[in-house]
Amino acid sequence: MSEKKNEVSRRQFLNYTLTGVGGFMAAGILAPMVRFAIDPVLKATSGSEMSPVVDVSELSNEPQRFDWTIEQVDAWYTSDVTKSAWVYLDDNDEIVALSPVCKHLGCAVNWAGNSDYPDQFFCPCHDGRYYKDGTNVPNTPPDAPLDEFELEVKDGTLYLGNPKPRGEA
Amino acid sequence: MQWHPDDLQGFFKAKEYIDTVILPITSISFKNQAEAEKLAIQKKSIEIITQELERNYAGRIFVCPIYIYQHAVDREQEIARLNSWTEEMLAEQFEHRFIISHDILWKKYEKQFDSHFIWTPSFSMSNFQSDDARLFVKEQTNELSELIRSYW
Ligand code: FES
Repeated sequence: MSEKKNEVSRRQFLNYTLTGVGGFMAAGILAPMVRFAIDPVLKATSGSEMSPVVDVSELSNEPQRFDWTIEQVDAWYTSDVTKSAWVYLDDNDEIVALSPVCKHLGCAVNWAGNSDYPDQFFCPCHDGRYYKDGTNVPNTPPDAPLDEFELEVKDGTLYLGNPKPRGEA
Repeated sequence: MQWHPDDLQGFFKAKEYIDTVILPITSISFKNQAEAEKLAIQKKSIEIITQELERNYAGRIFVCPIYIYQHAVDREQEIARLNSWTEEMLAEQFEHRFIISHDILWKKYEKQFDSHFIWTPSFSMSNFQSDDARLFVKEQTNELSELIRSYW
């Protein structure tokens, strides 16, 4: 009982202090912090900045790996992050851009990385394998297909955004 | 994986799969400007190369934070320390242990390392953003990963 009372009065005390003397100072301090806190969220939803990756004319049926660098902002901290994708044209000449990040534990997979499986993606870490369309080969460590990049073609250039897990089709 | 809280979460969930550790080592000296600059480039270079290795082999290789020593140190003493790092601390967890350095002076002591010692050339340019640097890093990481994979 008495503890509760104490708590209330402490909170009240804090309230008074904040809205009173400290209130206007706190507002000054809070404003920028709120901005920091909201910024990354806005970024994430206004979403996927698309990066130019390669000229569409360079693409073929054979998956090729492309690397590019983005500036990643985590709250107040900015860093350059290298991204990679395996890109090819499927049988309908549609562009497919797969994330190389293995769904087992995150190593980078390689197209035809194992000569025993020349038409699959191979993960060198624990022998995970994926078919050309990114579907994981059963009875290898990964339990999901490779993520697929959001993509967009503008003026003959392929732009890639964020990798998205593939819905079970 | 790296020494980051998020990675460590993953690490403790999947320890049995991560059997390889890399300890990048680099030195510092304020003796003269030329040497200091060279060492600073080496530090950046080893950082970039090991990060790139990590990015491609995150599910099997753990990259430790960089180990820093004094450039003018007594090398044999430093090796004793490094051996205690790799053998006392890391051996229990990781079957394959590698020390990676750009410092050519270690070459002479190579045999005294209990772990695998790898010397690899540093890039010499201070412009890390250049295409040359990127290509260099790519080649280096390809070779290093081939070497590491030969132990798996
Ligand atoms: S990380 Fe790809 S199979 Fe384990």
